[in-house]
Amino acid sequence: MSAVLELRAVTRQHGAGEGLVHALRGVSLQVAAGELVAVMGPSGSGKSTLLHLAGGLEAPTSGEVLVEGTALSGLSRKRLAQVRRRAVGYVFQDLNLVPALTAAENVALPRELDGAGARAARREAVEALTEVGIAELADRFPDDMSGGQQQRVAIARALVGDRRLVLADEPTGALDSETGEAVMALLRARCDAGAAGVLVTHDARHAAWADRVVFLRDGRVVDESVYRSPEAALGTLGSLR
Amino acid sequence: MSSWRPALRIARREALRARGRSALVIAMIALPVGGVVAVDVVFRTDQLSAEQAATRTIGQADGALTDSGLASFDQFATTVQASQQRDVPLTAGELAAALPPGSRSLVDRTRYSVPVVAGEEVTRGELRELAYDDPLAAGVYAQAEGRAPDGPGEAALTRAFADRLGVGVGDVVGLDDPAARLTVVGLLDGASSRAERTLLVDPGALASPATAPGSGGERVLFDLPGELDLAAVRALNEQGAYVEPRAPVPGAPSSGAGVGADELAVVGLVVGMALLEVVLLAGPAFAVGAKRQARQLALVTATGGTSRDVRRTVLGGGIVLGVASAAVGTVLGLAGGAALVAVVDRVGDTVQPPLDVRPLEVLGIALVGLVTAVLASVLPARTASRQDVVAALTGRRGTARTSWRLTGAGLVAAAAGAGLALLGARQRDVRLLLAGSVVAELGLVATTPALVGAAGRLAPLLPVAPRLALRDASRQRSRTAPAVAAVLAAVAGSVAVGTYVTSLDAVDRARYQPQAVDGSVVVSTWQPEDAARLAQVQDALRSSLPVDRLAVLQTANDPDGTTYVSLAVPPARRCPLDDVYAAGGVPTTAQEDAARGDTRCDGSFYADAYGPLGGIASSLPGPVVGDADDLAALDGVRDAATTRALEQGAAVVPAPFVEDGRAHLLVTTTDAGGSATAAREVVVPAVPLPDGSLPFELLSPGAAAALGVPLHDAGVIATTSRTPDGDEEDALLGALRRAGVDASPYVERGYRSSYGLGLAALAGGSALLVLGASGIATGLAAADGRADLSTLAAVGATPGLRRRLAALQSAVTAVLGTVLGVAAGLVPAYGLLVALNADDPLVRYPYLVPWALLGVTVLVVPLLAALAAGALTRSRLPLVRRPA
Repeated sequence: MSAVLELRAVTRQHGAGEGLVHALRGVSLQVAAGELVAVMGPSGSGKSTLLHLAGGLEAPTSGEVLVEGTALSGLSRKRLAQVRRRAVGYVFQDLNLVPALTAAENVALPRELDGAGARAARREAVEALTEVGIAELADRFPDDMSGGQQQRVAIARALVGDRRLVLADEPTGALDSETGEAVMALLRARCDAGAAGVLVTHDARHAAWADRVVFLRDGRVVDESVYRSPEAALGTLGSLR
Repeated sequence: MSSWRPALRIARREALRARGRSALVIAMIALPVGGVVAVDVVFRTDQLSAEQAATRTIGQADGALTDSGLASFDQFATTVQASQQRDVPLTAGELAAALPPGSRSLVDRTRYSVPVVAGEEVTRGELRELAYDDPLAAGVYAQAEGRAPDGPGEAALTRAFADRLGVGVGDVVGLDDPAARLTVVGLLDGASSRAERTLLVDPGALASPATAPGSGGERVLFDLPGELDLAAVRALNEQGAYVEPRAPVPGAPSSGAGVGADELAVVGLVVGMALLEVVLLAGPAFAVGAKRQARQLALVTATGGTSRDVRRTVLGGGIVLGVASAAVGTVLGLAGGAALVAVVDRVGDTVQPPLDVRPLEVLGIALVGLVTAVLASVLPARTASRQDVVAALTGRRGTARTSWRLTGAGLVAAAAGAGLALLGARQRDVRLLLAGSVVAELGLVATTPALVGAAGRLAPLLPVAPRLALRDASRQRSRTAPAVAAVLAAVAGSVAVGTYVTSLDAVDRARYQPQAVDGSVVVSTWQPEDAARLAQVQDALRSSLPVDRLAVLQTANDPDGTTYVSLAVPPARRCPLDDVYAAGGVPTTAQEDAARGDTRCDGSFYADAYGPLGGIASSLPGPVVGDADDLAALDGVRDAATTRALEQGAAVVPAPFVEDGRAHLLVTTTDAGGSATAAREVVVPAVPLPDGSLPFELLSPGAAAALGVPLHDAGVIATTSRTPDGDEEDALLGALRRAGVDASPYVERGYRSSYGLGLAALAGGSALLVLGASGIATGLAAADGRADLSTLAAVGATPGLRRRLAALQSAVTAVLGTVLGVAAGLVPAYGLLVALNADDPLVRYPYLVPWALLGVTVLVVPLLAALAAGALTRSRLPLVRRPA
């Protein structure tokens, strides 16, 4: 199985001198199609930085990031934006959607930015919204939707077109547990349908939906485990705390 | 009071934190405050106090006496009886004698435009007999060099005059009276103007006084032993002397001069609209500030603050920034005003008095700045105090909802204002028209939020970037609407004035009558002394201009007024009454009744013949005598038929004068005494001027010979290879003066609009406001939408999108505002023209659209606004959101 996302010995530093922060130190990771990988760790361990690097929002200080086999380091900002439009979908904890666009328009955004016709983009968007079960909300604005509905729209947007990599940063952080579970189930279903997913979370119950869990601490991978049980995952997390 | 303290503290900190926004608000309010303060300082300094003005004209005297021309009168009375006229004017001595015993007096005589000779140089200036070193005249002049003249043979000159004549102390100057040779003993400066050209001598130093009594140039400065009261003025009036008092006479009826209600209304209107502009421009900054503070304000509520405290916190921002703006503006204004006065004093000829700063007025202006800032923060404060606390704490951004009450009130005001303006136009009441227009405009301003919201409905039809810009503008209308309204108000004003001025310009253009073909130069030599120098005139023309052809034109009119030739109305079109008058008779009632329905008697003939001006426009007298080339130079007419007719001895005249191929000329001769007048008609062959050519009258030499009167040189016409410029015209004038020719050349340059600069300034000013307003709206939208930009980046927007978005946001504000503004501006302008047309039946003001102004306003300016916003926006997207 070919890797949709591959990180090779990636290092990322912020700042300089006294304020130098090693966000990531030599992290390597492969995520294959159909696989959902959870990234866990305490705050400041480098989880979010890993997601930013995977989508080309930040560039690594050293090492290499490959998406669908393409190395991101040599790409111009324009080509990076193209990669995000065509290959990568982000889901953040909050402020995911552009408030001035309707649900359908938000989902259609990457396709439209990529030059697709408005009608075709809308058709794809409505299809994606149907897949996540909220086609009836297509013409609502984000402010008129619940947090769970907004995250569903965000997931639909992350997967619209033929994108296969979903990068989710605490997608359930702002949701109640029931809604959170539903969003996780949706993410899992999308991965089972062939997408590759990276999920940053500090909630072990959500990590249970993953095929693999990667533990980060001070920018290093300290443990990588195939999922066994939520309790075991909690145990590992507990030892990290 | 206590709850204001935390509010002001938060406001102050917030102002320091958001430096960019604070600087924007301070600049927007401080600049107008500074401008008005500077204008106030310059105006007050330039405006002399009554005391300063009196000192400059009558020195330390209590007043000045002049001959009234009346035997006895009351200068405060409103009517004068003719029987009070007196034939012999009072002399200076008699005026002085009218003063009560114990008074001091000083003669002051001035003759204007007196030639003064120094060597070869002759320059005209004022000749003044005044002992300016007398204590009574102190302050009228300031001695710069030397001393005051003392007795005959001595004179003092103002420095400007001495420089012009090229003389100094010790040199000799002469007057037109060859015997009068005066030694310059002193140089001085006029109290008001450094450009004043005056030669001063002691009274009685000249063989004959500079002016005769009663000529208006003679007066007596006086100092009474007591006060100049009403009784003293009346006593002087009874002896025929008019009193120009130093200060208003106590108890005298006031002349009622003051600022008119109309002027006050206009000033109030301009100030009010300017205030509205600033409020509208600064408002969005506070709205965005309040929105960015939303979480903080919600925390204020969560910790037990009331909605009043929230309102105070936002209002506190207005107060903090208002105080800062007022302070900065006042300092800038005072410094700018002082600098301006210094520059005017150095560059101009007028002597500026010491700086006059009115603390109360400056304070008032600063206060208006403060009030403006507070007003701009009122609406955002209200909105903020009503926000949903939970939504703010969870970071959900609410959408502004349009207040239907505001929209309704706006619509009512717009309709009522339009009605008032229409009524004003009907009743020819310009003040009502203006008031109605302003009410209508304010109404439109109130409806902008709804209009901006309505425009947002077009968004789904647009591609993604413009859709985002328009949607954002319409959803965040708390910041968009004021900016759009500011653009609306500015554009409406400039379009209204522009439309009105375009119509005035069209009227002026239609009225303009060229005196020759463009580029041709005419020098009249009709005066005998100039006619004698015909050769010099031609030389001067040839030497100073790119001359193609020169021709001397002649006329049958005699400069001494004994012969006068004019075109007569052809018999068939002549009003029967004219024949009766010409025969010296009086028409009978029957004849008058018949004439009333006769189109020949309604005066339409001359309008047909000459157009709106009713005569030919020419600096040359009467019909001139010339050939086909002259006609071409004067009127631009050259065709084979006319040329042939002129060669065969015909006249060329406006078409209505031609009847059966002939024109009737009236030759009026007066004998030398001017008493007996005889008129005879001469019929000559004539061809009409082609349609559309300027009204002109030209006789061929053959036609002129038929008049049987001697011809005189009327002037020289020169056609040039290109229109002479100002320098060449000056050179020609100099050459003519050196040749001793008094006549001024006339250079035809075609119609020159006198409104061009004003219109350009208007368009420029409103363009600046549009750029400013859309720039502010865009900057605020960008600051507001940073989070959205990183979301866009995450889904793969290219870096250029941010630029395009900024450009489009700017364009949305500019286009919405200008389109609405054009609509709001054209209506009152047409109303004003309707009123003017109803007022003056003789002039028809056309309803023109100032396309150039509209094109610049609606197309060029929004485009510029978009380009500027795009160019000034960083293209890099904020990729990673970091907590602030």
